[in-house]
Amino acid sequence: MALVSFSNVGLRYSTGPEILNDVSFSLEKGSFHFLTGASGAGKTSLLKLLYLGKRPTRGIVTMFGEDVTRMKREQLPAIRRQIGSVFQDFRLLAHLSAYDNVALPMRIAGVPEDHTRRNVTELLRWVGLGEKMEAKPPTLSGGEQQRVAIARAVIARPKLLVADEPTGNIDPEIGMKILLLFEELNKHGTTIIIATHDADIIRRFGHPEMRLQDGTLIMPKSGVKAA
Amino acid sequence: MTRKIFQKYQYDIALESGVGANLVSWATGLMVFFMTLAIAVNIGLASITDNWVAGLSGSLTVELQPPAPADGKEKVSDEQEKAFTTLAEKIAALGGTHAGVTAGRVLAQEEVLKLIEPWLGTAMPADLPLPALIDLTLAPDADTAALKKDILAIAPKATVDTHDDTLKDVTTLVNTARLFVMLLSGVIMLLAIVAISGMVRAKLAIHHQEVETLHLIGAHDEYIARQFRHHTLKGTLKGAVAGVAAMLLTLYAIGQMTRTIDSSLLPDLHLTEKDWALLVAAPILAGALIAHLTAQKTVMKALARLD
Repeated sequence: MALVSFSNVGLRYSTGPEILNDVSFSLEKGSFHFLTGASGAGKTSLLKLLYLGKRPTRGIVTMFGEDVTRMKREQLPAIRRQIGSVFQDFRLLAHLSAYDNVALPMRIAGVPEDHTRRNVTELLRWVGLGEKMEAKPPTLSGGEQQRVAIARAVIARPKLLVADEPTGNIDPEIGMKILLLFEELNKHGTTIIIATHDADIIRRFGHPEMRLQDGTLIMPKSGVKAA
Repeated sequence: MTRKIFQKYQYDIALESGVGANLVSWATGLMVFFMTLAIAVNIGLASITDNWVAGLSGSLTVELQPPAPADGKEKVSDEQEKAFTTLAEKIAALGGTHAGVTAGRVLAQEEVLKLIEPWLGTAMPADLPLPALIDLTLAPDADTAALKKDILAIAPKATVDTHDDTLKDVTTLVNTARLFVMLLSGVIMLLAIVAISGMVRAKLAIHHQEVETLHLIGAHDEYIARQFRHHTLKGTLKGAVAGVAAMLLTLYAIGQMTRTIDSSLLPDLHLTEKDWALLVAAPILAGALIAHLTAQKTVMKALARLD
């Protein structure tokens, strides 16, 4: 059974034009995809549907075997906790330290503090922020903020990882390290979808590509099943 | 619980910074200040009524008009004076001889003068004719109508005051005032609810993006509401304690100022330990409860509109 399934999904903001139209695809458990397309093609909107930041205006979205399109809002947190999201604008909480930002998903899930401390410390060291755990996001560079955002997305070992340009602001060496972390998570069963413009990365890792053009998923390549 | 509220609590939402971080404390402080005043007034009025009722019920006052000089005479004769005094003592002697009276006493001239002092002042002429006032203490099951009849049999021109009408009027007046004060407390509480609710909504609007991020990470509404609740409760308790303290100081200052006022015009006001405990605890507890419930309801209602 597919982990994520979109069937004739459409999305519009308010009364504006449809940003996504008739998008249909399914992602198998443990798959890894790159989402590409020109600016304004609808990549961020598709990712919003994937991390449940929006619900479609039409069509059906199924995640982890549940129809989330008409799901009661009280049920959404349980689904969202299985998704790790790297937002385009990071969405870090400015008054919390890097450590506390990364610890958030575990605290929300009620994980004991000693377990949280061990994991967060280890992960922040791994992404090169071991010395900046107590730093607040406004004092960090763009690349450092992005690494905090990535660490927060993966800390709770999500079943689905959705990332919007996760290597956009960081130097190539760290970017490669981050992608290797994603590869490692993927090997352990996490389904990953990354929006990127970087053709080098797509070529280098060789994962299938989903291409959006004017709101339509036009060319699902190998590994993506058209629903 | 208090330790838990005041210990360092980490908010995921930056509720403790920015414009209006202390607005809840100020609003609650003012609410509690006036609520404490309302309770103090209420307790005071109740105490005054109780004092009056205790002083007047179970007793009866007989008033004998002083004798007038005989025709053609300038002064009252010694015989008239003697008859007047004897009559007063005869009525007072009902205490112990009459079944409905346990004790009787003719008020001394100084006591009578003290009673009329608020109206006539202290500079009264020495030969001012004063009535005789006889205070009779009634037995618990005394038949006041029969007693009144017996007194009038002794002194047909006597005025017998059972205090019933006075007590009824005073009690009605004080109870109306107490009801008004309680209504005022209700209005103050309502205003506090509106103010706290408005402030919580404003905070939700200011921190909309943080709330949305927490939702996207998987936080339940309750997780977010808990932070608003804690923040509001903390602000409320701070404001409430300050409000009560300010009002107690005000009451103390009023007490000091009124000490110089002629006490014969003011009824005796005495607050018991229970009254003081109510005065301090009720506004704080009411403030905390109002804040807790208002914050919870406002946040949950607002979050329910988000997806």
